[in-house]
Amino acid sequence: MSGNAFYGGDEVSAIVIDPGSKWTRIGFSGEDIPKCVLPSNYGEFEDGRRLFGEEYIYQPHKGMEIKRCVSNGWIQQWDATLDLWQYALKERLKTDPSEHPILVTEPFDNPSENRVKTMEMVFESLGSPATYLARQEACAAFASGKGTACLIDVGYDRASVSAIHDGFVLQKPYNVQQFAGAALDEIIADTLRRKGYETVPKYLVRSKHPVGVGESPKYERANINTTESFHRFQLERVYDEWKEECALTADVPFDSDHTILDSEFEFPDGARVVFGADRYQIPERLFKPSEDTTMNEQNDENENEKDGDGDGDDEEKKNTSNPKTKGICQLFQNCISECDVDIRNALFNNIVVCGGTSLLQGFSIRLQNDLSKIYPGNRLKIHASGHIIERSYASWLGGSILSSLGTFHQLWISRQEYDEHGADRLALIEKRCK
Amino acid sequence: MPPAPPPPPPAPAPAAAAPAPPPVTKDRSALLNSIQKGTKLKKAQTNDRSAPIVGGGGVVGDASKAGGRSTKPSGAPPVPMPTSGSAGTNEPPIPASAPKLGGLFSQGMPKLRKVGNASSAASPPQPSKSSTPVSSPPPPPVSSAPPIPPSAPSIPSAPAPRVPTSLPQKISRSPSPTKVPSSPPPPIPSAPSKAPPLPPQSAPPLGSHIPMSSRVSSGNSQTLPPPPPPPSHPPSSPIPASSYTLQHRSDKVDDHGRFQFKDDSYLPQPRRFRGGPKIYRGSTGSTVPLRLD
Repeated sequence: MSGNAFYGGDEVSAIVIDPGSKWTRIGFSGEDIPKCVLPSNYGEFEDGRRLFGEEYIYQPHKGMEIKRCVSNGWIQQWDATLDLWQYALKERLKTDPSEHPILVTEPFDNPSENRVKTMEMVFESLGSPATYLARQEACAAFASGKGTACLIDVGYDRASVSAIHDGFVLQKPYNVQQFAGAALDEIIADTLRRKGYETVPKYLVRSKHPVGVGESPKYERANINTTESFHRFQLERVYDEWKEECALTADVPFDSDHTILDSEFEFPDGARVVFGADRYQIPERLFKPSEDTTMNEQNDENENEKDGDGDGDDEEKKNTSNPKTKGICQLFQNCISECDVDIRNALFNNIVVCGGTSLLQGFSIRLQNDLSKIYPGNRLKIHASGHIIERSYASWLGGSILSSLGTFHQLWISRQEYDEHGADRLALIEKRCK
Repeated sequence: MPPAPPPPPPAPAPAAAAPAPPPVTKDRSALLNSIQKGTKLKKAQTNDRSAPIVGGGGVVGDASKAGGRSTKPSGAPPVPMPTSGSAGTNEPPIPASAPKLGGLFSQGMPKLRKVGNASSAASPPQPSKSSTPVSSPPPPPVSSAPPIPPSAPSIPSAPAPRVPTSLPQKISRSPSPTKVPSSPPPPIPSAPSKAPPLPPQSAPPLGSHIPMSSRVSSGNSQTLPPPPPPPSHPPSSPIPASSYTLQHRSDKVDDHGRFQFKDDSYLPQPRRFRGGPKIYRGSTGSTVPLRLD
C-alpha cells in the first residue's frame, strides 16, 4: 500500500435485510444463507408489548394479536418493523447495527415514501454508517448469477414477472399481482370448509389417537383461549403443510380427463383425509385463476393500504381472485410484450423462477410446458433451482452477493452523504439506488 | 393478444424517472461482470431446528450443497452442523457428505494467523504423536531416547536455545563450545502435516542466538530436519533429564518431559507499530479498499 496506510483488522461485513410479506431474512453479506429467518408477523399485546420470532409467536399467549409488518411486499408497520429488525440484529445475529453497512431489499414498485422511510430508519434508528436499497427482483436474478433475466417470483402475497436488464428492473414490463401463496391458503380453507372439515391447528391438540382414513378425528382439545388473529395465523401453518405435501400441479392444464392420483393427508388432530382432484385444482389457480366461483370485486392490486388499527390483513382485501386476476403465463406474456424485441431472446434464455410458492410440486414443469406452447418458436431456458434455500431466499442471496462484491462498494450511500444531502432524500435515493 | 395495461404505479409515481434504465457505465459493467462470474459465499453456520430430531424432514440450512439433501423436504435427517460447530472444536462444521471439499476448505478453514511460532505448534502434547518427547512423526533413526549430540555436557552451562536438528550435523563436525543443546528436535517441525507451512521465521530468533549461521533446513520447512546422527562418542557421564531443557525449568514439575519450556526470545517479534490510517478490505478476498465516503 502507499504511504503510511495499511490494511487493518477483519473485514467489515455488511448486513443484508430482505423483508418479505411472510418471512424476513436478515444475515451477513457474503454468507450463503441468512442467519436469521423469522416471520414478518409479530405478536402484540394490549399494553403495546411485542413479540418476534417463531418461538414466541407460535405459542398461544393470552391476549396476543398477530399482526403483520409487511404486506404486499411493502413495509406497512414501521415501528414494528424497526422492532423486528432490532430484535433480529441484537438477539439473533448478536450484532450492533451501527457497525455495519446495511443493505435493504425492496420491491420494484415500492412507494417513494417507503423508500425514504426505510433509509431514514436505517440511518436514524439503527445508526448504520451506510446503506443501499436494492431491488428484490434484481437481487433474485443476481443470485442465479445473471444480470439479465426474466424473473418469475411467486411468493406469499404477490406474484410478479419482471424483466431485468443489465441489473436494472425495467419499468414497463413489470407485472405484479396479489395472487399467490396467501390466495391459495384462502382457497384451501374454502375447500376444506366445503368438505365439511374443521381444520384444527396444532396448538389446540392436546393429544390425539390414530383413526382410519376418512373417520372422524379423535383428539383431546386443549382449553386455550386465543385471539382470532392467532388462530388464523396457526391455520396458515396447516395450509402450508398441505401445500408442501399434498398440492400437485398438473403438467398440462387440468381438466376432467386428467389422471388423478389420490393422496392422504393427516391433519394435526389426527384426521386422515384423502384428496384427489383438489390436489391439482388448487395450484391450478395460479395458472387459471378464473375458475374461482367466489368473485371478490375489491381486489385492488397496488393500493398502499395504511390501516389505522395496524392490522394489515383486512378480510375484504384478501387475495381472492377476481376477473382481473391473471395466470402466471399471462403475466409472463404481458412482461415480454413490453420488452424491446432485441432483448427478448436474452430474457427467454434466462428465465429465473423463485419464491416460496414456486416450490409447489410440479410447478416449474407446468410452467415450462405452458410457456413452450405459447412461444413455440423460441428457445426457453427456465432456471428453477432445486435448492429450497435458493428459491425461497433468492432475493436475500442476491443482496448478499451484491454487497460482498468489491465493485459494489462505491454504491453505498454513506451517513455523511445522507446528512449533507438535506431535505430531499427521495432525490438521493432515486439517484443512487436505481 | 393485446397486453393488458400494467397496473398504474402508486401516486408519487416514478413518472419523473427515465422510462429507459440508465446507460451502462464502466463501473456498472464491472459490477455486472462480477455478478455473472458469481461469487462464492461463505458457508454460514446456522442452527436449523426446523426438522424433528428423529429422522424426518426439514429445510437443510446449507445452500452450497449440491443436489441430494436439500432438495428433499422430507426424509433427510438434519445435518449436525450447528451443534458440532459450537461444540468447542475450532474446525468449521463439515457436513456428513461434503461434496465440495475444495470449496469448503478455501472459505471455511479458519485462517490461521501467520505466527511462525515454534511454541504454537508445540503447545499441547500432540495427541496423535507417540508419547515420546520427540514429538514428531519420526524419521526412524530418531530414537526414543533423546539424542545426545556430543556437546551435551556443555549444555547446562548455557541457556540453550532450541536448535533445529539440522544443526547437530554441523555440530558433530565442530564439537566446540557451541551452545547446541542436546534436545529432542524442536517442536517447530513437529506437526508438519497439520500446521500451515511455517515460514522460516522461526529461524531468525534462533539465528540470533547461535553463532553458526545455521538455519532450518532450507528445502522444505515442513519436513523434519534430518535426525541427529548417532553421537560420535558417547557422553562421559549420564546426563540428568533436566539438562535437556532450559535452565530455568523447575525440576519439581513432573510432566514426563512432554513440555519443553523455551525462552521468551523464541516468540516472534510483534508487528512494528506504524500508526497512520488503516484501510479495510471491501469484502472477503477483495483488494478493493472499503470506502464509505
